Amino acid sequence: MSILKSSALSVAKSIWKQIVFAAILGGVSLGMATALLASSAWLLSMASTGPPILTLQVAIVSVRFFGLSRGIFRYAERIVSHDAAFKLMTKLRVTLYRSFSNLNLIQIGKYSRSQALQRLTKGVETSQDFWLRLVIPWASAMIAGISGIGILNWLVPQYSIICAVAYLGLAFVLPFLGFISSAGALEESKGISEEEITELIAHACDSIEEALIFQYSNQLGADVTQSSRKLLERSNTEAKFTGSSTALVTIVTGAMTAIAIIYAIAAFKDGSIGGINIAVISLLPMVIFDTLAPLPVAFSNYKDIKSSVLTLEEVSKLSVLNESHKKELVTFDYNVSIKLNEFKPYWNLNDSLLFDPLTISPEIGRPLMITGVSGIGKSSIVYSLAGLLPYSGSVKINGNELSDLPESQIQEIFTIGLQRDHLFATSIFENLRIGNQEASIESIQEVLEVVELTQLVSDSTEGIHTLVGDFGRILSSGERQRLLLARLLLRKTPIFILDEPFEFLDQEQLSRIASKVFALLNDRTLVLISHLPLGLGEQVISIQARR
Amino acid sequence: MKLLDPRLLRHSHSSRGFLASAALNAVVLTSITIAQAFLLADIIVAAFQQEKSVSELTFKICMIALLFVARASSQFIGEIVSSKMSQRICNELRTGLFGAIFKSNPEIIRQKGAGQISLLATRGIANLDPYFSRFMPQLFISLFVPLVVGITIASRDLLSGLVVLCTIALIPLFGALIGKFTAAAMEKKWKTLGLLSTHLFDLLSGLTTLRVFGRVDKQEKQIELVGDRYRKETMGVLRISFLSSLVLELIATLSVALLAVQIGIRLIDAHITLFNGLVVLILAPEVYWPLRNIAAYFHAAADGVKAAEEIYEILETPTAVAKSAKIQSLNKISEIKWNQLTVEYSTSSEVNIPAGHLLPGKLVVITGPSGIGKSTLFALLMGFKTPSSGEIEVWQGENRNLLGELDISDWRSEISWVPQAPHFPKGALRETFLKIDSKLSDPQIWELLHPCGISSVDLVNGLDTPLGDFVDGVSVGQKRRIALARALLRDSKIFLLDEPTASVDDFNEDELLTLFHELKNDQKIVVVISHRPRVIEAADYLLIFEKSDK
Repeated sequence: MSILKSSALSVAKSIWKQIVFAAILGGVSLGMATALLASSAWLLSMASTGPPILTLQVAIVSVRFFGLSRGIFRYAERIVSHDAAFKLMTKLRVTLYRSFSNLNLIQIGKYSRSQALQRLTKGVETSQDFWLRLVIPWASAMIAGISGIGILNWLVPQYSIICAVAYLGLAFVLPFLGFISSAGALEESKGISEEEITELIAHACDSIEEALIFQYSNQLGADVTQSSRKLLERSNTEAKFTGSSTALVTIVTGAMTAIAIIYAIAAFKDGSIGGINIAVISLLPMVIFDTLAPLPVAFSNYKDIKSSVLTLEEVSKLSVLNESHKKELVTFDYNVSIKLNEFKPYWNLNDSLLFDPLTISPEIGRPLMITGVSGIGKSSIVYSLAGLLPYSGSVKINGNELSDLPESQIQEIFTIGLQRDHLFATSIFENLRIGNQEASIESIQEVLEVVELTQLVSDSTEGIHTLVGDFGRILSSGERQRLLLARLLLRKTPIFILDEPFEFLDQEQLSRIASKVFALLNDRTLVLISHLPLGLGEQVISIQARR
Repeated sequence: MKLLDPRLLRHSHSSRGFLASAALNAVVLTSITIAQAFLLADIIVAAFQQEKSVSELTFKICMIALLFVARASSQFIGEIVSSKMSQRICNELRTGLFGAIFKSNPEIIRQKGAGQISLLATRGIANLDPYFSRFMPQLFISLFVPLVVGITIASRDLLSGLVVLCTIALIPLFGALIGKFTAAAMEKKWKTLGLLSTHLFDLLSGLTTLRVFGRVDKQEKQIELVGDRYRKETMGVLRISFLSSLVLELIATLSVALLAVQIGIRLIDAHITLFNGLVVLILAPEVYWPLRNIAAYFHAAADGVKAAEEIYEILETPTAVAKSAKIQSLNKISEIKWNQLTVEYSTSSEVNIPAGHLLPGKLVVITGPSGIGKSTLFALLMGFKTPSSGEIEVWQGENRNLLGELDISDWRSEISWVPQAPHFPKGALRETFLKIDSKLSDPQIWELLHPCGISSVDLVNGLDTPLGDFVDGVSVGQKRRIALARALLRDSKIFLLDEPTASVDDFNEDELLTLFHELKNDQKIVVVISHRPRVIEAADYLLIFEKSDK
């Protein structure tokens, strides 16, 4: 099966012992139920012949033992298997997050954030159900079933062979039916996925205010309802599979019970077994085949599990980051030269950006401002220098081509301020430390002064440890912008590329803060991107639309 | 937690049929089970004690096989029916939920939080299906089968009946005890799950940021830590909830053992017949397995019940009653004014908004430092927030109404708005406009976009440009201008523009100012939040929000 090789399932290699252990515990637990019925039936039949009570003592003890141990083994199995599944989920989550972080913007553009979140939560959970709800229960059933058939083999060898064939047949047919019914369903589900609906709903919730003002909220609701109805229609095939395979198990159990009775009576007649074993043989098939009873419901989930595994695989396949050919440079001080020659970022090969290639060489201590009308592709320049987008032409860092440098080194050379930078839902302090882990309190104070947030911080009840909420919710857009700027200023890199760093500031504040930023970074190379020049003595390059 | 909530009958018409069919299935299954036990015991006794041959028992053996076939059919039909019915109920509840969220009571989204609502609308709804299709039918079986089978056992052997009665009585006792722990534990599990996904969402949103800062490795450790904490807490919860099934399992298997031993000992002295003993032995597990199964589905059900409860709660939240004071024609609005307004935020802070007034045909520009409450004023004007003190007055000539007295959707239909961070309907750019007026043609849409500074050369994919999430086909500045074009599409009385010129260049600012003047000339009420000197210059009234000295 190809999905076993996928990264989502091969994670299990690391704890295969725990998985095997869980399956054995499960098998023993199910086996105890078989043993309980067999020994009880024997006890009753034996007792009815009126023997001295001593001959029954062993049977009585074992009946009690089997009665007690079934539940205990089952409990142990569940704890062990769930613990294993959670361990796998965490491991998988880390690998998956790594995969996402390796994607460039073109690749990650295929996913929305809520889609990515779905994969990290629901997707990861569902994929590990492969072990928890399919493999372990199946293996447990096999262990218990085969040992039950072993008892039969000792009493009625011929029948036990028929029984084994029927049992193994069912044990393989059930998963097979699950695989088949999922094959069609996977095709069907391409129409709409749960992820898409989640995203649709999240989006609808986010835009409810605009929908109310512009009066399309009814339609918003109708869209969501309609598409989520489509999703539910799929579970019909699931019910058919579960219903028919449960029925199949019952019918085979019935047939095997009838055959068992015939064999038992025949064996009793020809004297190969004692009469007390008739009850044992007649009742055993029911408990043996009962071990297969949970499988139809379990395998009805196979489709979901498989599609989860496949979607996760898609991400990890995309993100093969090959840095082996890249070389490290000698360490840098602030004296780094950067030269762009015929440089142009691109999103796809038939190029959609509207400006002519750039040839510039920014100087240390002299801010360079790149301006251009919005939508021309200014932000793509930043993404590209950050290594998130490919480019044509060349970018030389001290004479070395940017794309030849490993990403870790690009991060040491550049401080990149993205236009849509993220504030994490933690404290002001922790957000600043994302910029520079080793930042001292003094340097933090200094940058807060530069962006004029000192007052806000000291007014807040928790000071610098005040939590900013999701996406910096408690801050206004201007405050958010300034906090982001402060985080960038903490970095000790030779080159700064900042995209619209002064957005949302009023004119006065903008001039004040920009001058202070220029002063602070006067020993570094600073490139700014904005639609308007600041008029603070920076060198201005205007990129023109190519029409 | 109620396993069968009477509110279900109120909110879902299909639920009656569903409950009836589940009950019928339980009756059929019980009859088959009892018939099977009697027949099996009879055959065994006949073969063992009366030494009958196979040919003498052929009929009965065939009957056994037939009963299994009957059981199989009832399982198959039961599965299909319950799945169909469950789907229908889920659909009804979902339609009701979405109706409440998007139609009758959208404020609930802000009250509960968008994240909470979307979790409910997706995962919550998904949890309903196992609750209805698996748990509910099982619930009926669990009520009916043990009762009837227990009575049958008692009728065969009173002592065994007593044992069954005693052990069964223990189950609800332990069940209630453990259920109490489980409910609290489930609450905790939901909370940690929420925490985990909030954390992951935060990290995903900041993915690019972390990458350019070279901080991905650090965050991986974070994910590991959070994941590990989630594992430990959830395992704690599971240990308790598995305990409940352990107790059930123990009672079930131990009782069977107890019955077997007790019957075995009485059989020696022939105080009971082998036939009755076997009937009791075969039937005994049937008393307990439905109860055990229901515990197995309890997990799924607990999530489903929780989701259902939240949905009922939303469905039964009273919707804002349509206000009496309808405005005949909002074109008659002569003034909107307010004295100082105060808005309380949850974070114990409050925002004070200075007095102001808006007039038709005038451009009002609001300026002031960030965080002072400019956007909050817009939220108040649109009725998304209510002031904790102060009132907004709407004047129509001599006629004065408070904003809170007006029919809110009538009022909103007279407002056009450019939000600071616009959201557009998912899909192509064209959709944004078609959502508002489905009859627009492409050239008409371009005509709207053009004065806002977007022409076909700016967008390579034209009106098919997708508006997405992680990456958009348009820049931030273009987004604002699309939002402006959308606002202009509506011939409303009031225009609220939140920083429409941020991220917009000089060239476009000119065009925008012309637009403002055109709106003014149409006697519209135009309110703009801006820091731009040229916009401020153009204002007829300037509202300056300043920090109050503390």
